[in-house]
Amino acid sequence: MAAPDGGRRGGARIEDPAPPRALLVMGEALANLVTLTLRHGRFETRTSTDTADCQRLVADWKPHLAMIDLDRYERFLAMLANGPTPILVFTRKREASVKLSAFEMGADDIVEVPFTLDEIVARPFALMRRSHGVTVPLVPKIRLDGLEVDVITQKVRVNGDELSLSPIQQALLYLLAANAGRVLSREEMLTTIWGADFETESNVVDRHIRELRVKLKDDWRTPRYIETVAGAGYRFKPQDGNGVSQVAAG
Amino acid sequence: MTKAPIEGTPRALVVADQKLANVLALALNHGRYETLCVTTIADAERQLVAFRPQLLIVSIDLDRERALALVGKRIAGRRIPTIALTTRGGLAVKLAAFDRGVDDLMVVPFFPEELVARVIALMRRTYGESVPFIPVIKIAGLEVDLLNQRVRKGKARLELTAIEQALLYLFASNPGQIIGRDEILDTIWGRDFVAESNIVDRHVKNLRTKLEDDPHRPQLIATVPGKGYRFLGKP
Repeated sequence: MAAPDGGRRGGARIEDPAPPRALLVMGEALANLVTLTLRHGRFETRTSTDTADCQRLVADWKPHLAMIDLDRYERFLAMLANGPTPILVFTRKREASVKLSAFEMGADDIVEVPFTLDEIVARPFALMRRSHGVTVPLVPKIRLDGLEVDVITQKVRVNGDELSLSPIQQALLYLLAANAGRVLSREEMLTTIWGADFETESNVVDRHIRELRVKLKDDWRTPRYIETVAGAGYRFKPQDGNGVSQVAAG
Repeated sequence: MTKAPIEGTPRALVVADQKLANVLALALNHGRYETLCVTTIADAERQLVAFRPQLLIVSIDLDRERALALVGKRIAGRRIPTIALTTRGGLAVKLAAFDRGVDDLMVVPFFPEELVARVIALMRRTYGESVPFIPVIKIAGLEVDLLNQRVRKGKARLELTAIEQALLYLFASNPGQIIGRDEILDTIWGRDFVAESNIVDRHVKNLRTKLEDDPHRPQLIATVPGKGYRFLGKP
């Protein structure tokens, strides 16, 4: 598709079909979720929360986008805003002042937590278009450890059955699968998906996990996908021989 | 792209269901606009030409194809910066909207501060610094400071939470009308994220405690038994 108005920042341009590159400045759990979700656009990602390292990546790796967790790594916005890379920030804060100053400091767009996964697909796509004049092809289906998920229809295929997920179940599933093998605490899941400011019941995570398990036909006593780790949280069981992969179109 | 500043008061055209349009119009008071709200795409098509807006905020849930056809139209040789709204659009709709050239997109529910920030960013991107930001507006005799999430009532200064603030904007922009609990849930939380059934009542109660002289005899936010709430203050 033709470029609407060329590269606004005059930064890196994509001339070849090589995957777009996104630099993620955020904690591990969120970065894993974003990385996984960006597979729907075949993005390549690097994660760093180290100043010198980020500067090196911007200079040498030349990312097309930077995504920054503003609540934890605000100083990176000031640092990267002067460079060629368009910036998408995440914030859980509900204050107008935070958002206004983010735009003023040079953020090009904001993802509000709580978010649904389609935001993490659609906003980078829009920014790639606006800043680089490039339309990133969408890969609707990817495989998560033996589960086939479709980000457009919000369906997941388990053992031949196709199930519909709610936006939040979808986000939870991606978060867990993106961090397969690692225990995620309820707190971590809350801050990543719901946002700390967002008032919720204390058991909201457990309730959504329960619903997700029912859909995946995952028995909590002998789970195939989502394990409860007593006193710690939840863990997605890595499936043998099945990593994350893209599903061929068709 | 050159940024030609706007002379005079910028015109904003809002295309959405009435209650949502009312909230948008109220929030736009933070930027000094001449705002026109319409509830049908046919009216929007007419007003695009007659009213010549410099900002378009359009709900694409009304009639998606015709709504998206409004995007990117040139009026008097200029593209109108556009924010699309969708309630349960999903990824396909969002990508289609961006592909058609909307400049930004917001999912309902949203909080007033999100709209204000996105509008300011878009107007600055398009027109430069010509649209002022007005942090404090008067709503029903209250001075509402969006930036500091504070309300001044007479001599009292009250701190509001983001949710209470969003509730106040929803109520105050629809004075005299009954607003149901489900409507409030849809406008502020989105049903997906909430489990408790009494979350609306709990926050309304907190808001009353802050705003009402006597929370048991509310003068601003009345309960309509079995239906919801009604804002009694004047806009």
